[in-house]
Amino acid sequence: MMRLFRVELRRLFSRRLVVLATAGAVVVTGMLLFGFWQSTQPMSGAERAQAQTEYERARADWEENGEDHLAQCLADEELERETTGRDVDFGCEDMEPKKEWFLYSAPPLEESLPGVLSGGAYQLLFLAFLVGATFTAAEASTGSLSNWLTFEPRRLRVYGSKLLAAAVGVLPVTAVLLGVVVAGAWAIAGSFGLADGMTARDWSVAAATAGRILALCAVVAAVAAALGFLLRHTAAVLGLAVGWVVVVELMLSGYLERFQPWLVGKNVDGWISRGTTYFVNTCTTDSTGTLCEYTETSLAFGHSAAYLLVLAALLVLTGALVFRRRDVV
Amino acid sequence: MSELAIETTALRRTYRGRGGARVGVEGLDLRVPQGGVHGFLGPNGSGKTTTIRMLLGLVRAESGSMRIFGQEIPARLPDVIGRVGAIVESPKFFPTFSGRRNLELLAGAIGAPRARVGEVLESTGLADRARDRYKGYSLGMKQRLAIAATLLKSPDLLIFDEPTNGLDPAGIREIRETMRRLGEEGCTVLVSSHILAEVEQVADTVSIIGRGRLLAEGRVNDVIGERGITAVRVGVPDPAAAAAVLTAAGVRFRPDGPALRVRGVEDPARITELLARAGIYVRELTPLRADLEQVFLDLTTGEGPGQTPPGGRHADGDRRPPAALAVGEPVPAVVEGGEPR
Repeated sequence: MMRLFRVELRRLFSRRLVVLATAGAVVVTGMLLFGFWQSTQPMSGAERAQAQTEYERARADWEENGEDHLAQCLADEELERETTGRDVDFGCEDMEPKKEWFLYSAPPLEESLPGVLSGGAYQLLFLAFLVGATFTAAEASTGSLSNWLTFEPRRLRVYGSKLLAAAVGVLPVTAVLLGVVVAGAWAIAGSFGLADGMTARDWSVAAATAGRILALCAVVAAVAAALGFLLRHTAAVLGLAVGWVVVVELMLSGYLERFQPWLVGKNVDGWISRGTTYFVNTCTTDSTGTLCEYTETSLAFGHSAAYLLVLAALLVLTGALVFRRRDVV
Repeated sequence: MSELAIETTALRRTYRGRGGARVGVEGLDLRVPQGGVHGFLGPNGSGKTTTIRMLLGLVRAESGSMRIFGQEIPARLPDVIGRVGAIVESPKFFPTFSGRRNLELLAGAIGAPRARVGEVLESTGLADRARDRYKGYSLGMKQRLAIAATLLKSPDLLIFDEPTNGLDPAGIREIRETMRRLGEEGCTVLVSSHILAEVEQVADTVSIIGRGRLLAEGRVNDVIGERGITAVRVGVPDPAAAAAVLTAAGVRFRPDGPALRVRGVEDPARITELLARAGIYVRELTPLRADLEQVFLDLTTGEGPGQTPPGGRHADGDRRPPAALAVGEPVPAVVEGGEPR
């Protein structure tokens, strides 16, 4: 098995499409960092002067009419409270203009890094999916698999070695690219003085997030390789994935909000971010009418981990059972 | 140790499609002796490739049993696969890898030393093009690479499925010579083909299969060799005079362009003798061989060349006395036969 695994790894790294996909991922990583650099740019002198002018104008208005604005706000709040019978808060105490409302500054790295990592995660997951799918599907579609089986007829060994090679093979590239994302974000934030607040705990959280992304990339590559065995064409695997995202993850989820905990995308979010939330539109009817509002609901990390694990195991197992019995021509 | 390289008993496989179930192999009893070249002859769609795929574990048999070197297949295939090299239909390698890279991967999979790759490339004449991409190879080179791959194992049994399909004459000759050489070197070579002449040229023994069933088996000469000659084309300066002589002698013939096609003559020398006595000298005497369709027709209708070959055996196991070729109208399709081995 290990001999086959080593051969499959060599084959994986010899594939031109893998090299091209990796090059593409490098470019996308560069674009991601460029976007981060743009979003962390401080305001230019002209923008700052404009913002200062606007702030002073709002301040002057507050000095002159602030008491009236506050009184009106409180009156509206009270009216709403009486009408609906609910405890409402219009935020009247925070109406006084503040300088930071006008003078924008990018968040510090400890706040922005999780978002940057999540953004990078999806392109790495796509890379892993593409590599895994094409690794096995191309072999089936060219017929090379039948030739391979005349050298090693034990199908489960062949299957296992290919899935393992896909899973392990994507790790070096994804690890390096994640490292580039973190190092690049740190360097960019540091150049604008936004990285000084990173504590040891912040770094360990980022490292844990990167670790979870790496693990997920390995699993996704193995699952994609299993799908490659099942569908035998890279285009079919990609078509299935795109179809699933469009029909189930985007369209059906809009109609069936309560099923969001069972969506792949939501659980990927939950895995990467160590738990996530989703919103459900809840409507209540009383004497005043029907009121609908979005309720934020938590999706536990454990749920996402178990969901992804079971889904991956089912797909890998199905691929194994089908490949074990299927005619290979 | 089994004396048979391959043995199948009552092997069966059907395919299900839109038009219902289609028989691929139906109760096939195949016996391939160890050593030499064994032809596996049958028309397209007769079940040759399905049989080979079942032997290699690529396709599942529905019923029946298979053995390679006495080992039960597919249960013991992993134990024996190291002794078996096979090319099923067209060669199938990774198209964007070089020939050498493809062989290195296969060598790695079976633990063969890297040096072996160079050796087999050298022996198949591909050393100069080893670093070229496989997809740039000609069909002949692809076939040679496939042979090189099978040789990585130093196999005792080589299975070639229609190895000359699509090759030019030089490629065909090369592949046939390779098969003969491997057979003479002690390897058992099973070559499937739908070309009668090919099997006659390279094989020592043959199994003929039709509609998934064994029709006949035995030594090539006994089963299809000289019995495959169904007519003789006779070229003479004066066909009308020759026709009169042959008619008087009771020989059946028909015009064939400027020549005559004579049927029902076991010994072509008799024709030259008849004509020479009448002062007509033959300038062409070409044995015409029955094509595969005719052989199958004969075998399935109990007539003709496949009938009870001496030392051979019909699929039903009956041993019948040798019989002359059935001759009669309509004249069967004929092909210009290949050169005798």
